Amino acid sequence: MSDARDRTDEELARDAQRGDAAAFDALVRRYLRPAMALAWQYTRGVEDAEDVVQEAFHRAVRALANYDRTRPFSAWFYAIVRNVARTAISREGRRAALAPLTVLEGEPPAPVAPDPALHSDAERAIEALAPMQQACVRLCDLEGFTSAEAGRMLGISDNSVRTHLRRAREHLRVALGPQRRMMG
Amino acid sequence: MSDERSASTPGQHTVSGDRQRSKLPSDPGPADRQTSKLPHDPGYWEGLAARIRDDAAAPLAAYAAATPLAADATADGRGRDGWPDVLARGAIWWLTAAGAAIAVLWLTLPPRDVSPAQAWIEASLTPDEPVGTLVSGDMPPAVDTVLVHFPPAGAERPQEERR
Repeated sequence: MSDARDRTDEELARDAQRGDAAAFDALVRRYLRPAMALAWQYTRGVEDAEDVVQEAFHRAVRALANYDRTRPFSAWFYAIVRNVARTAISREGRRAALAPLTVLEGEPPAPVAPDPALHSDAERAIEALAPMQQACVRLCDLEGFTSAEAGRMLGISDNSVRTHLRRAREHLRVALGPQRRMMG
Repeated sequence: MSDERSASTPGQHTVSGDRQRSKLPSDPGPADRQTSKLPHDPGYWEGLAARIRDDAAAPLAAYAAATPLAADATADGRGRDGWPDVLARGAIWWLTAAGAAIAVLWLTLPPRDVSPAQAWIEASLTPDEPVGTLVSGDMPPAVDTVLVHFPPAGAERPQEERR
C-alpha cells in the first residue's frame, strides 16, 4: 500500500469519498495544525479554536460527496474552517479578531480593551494592527507558515499576504522602535 | 501545494511545497516555534485527531457502503473512481448499443437506385406537381416539355395584351 505522505490532498479526498478512513486520517493529520492556527485567528483561544476545527472536519466529512476533486482540497477545506469560525464567533457574540476577514486594509482597528493576556509589548503592537495584518503576522511570523500557505488559509493571494506582512512589519518597526533603542 | 508535502505527524505542519518560509533566522518550522499560540504537546494533537477520526467514522462507513466499487481497489490501495466510473462505462455501453441498432436498420433497408437527393425531392413534391415529372424521369426533360409546363413570361404577355 502506498504511503499516504506521497499522495496529494485530492487523491486522499477521493479515497475518503469512498469511505477510506486511512485517507481521511491522513487529511486530518495534514490539516489539523493549519486549521487550528486559522481558527485561532478568529477565536483567540485554543479551546474555541478546537471546537471550530472539530466542527469544520465534521462538516467536511459530510460534504465530501460534494467536493469537486478538480479543485484544490485546501481551498475547499479552509473555506469551511473560515465559515465555521465566523458562525461560531457571531453566535457567541464575541468581538471577532478578524470579524470579518474582509475588513478593509488600512481601516483603523477597533479600540481594544486591556487584555491581561497581552504580556508583551510586541503582542500589544500586533494587537494594534489591522485585522488582516494581524492574521498574516501571526500565521507567518509567529506560527511559521509561508505566505502562500497563509494565503490559502485566509482565502487571499500570496501577494496580498506579502503586502500585508510588509505593512505590518513597518508598523511594528515604528511601534517597537523606541523599546529597541532603549534595549540596545 | 498538495503535491510537495513532506512527512507529517500530528501537531506538525507539513506543507513544504512553498519555499518561502518566514524570514526569521534559522526558522525551525511551525511545530517547534515558541511564538506559537497553539499547544506544543504531541499528545494534545494526537487526542484531537483521534476525536475527529471518531466523529468521522460513521459518515465514512456510510460512504463505503454507498460506493459499489469501494472493494474494487488496486493493490496499492487506490480504488477506482466509483460512480463516475460506472456512469462512464454505462455511457460507452449505450453508445455501442445505439450504433449496433443503427447498423442493423441500415443493413435491413431495401436497396434503392434513387440517389438520396432525388428521393428527397420526390418525397417533397405533391403527386400533381408538374415539376415532379421533370425531375423524376430517367432522362433530362426536353426544352419543349419544360416550356409546356412553364411557358416563358414574355411569351404570355402579348396574348394578354391582345385580349
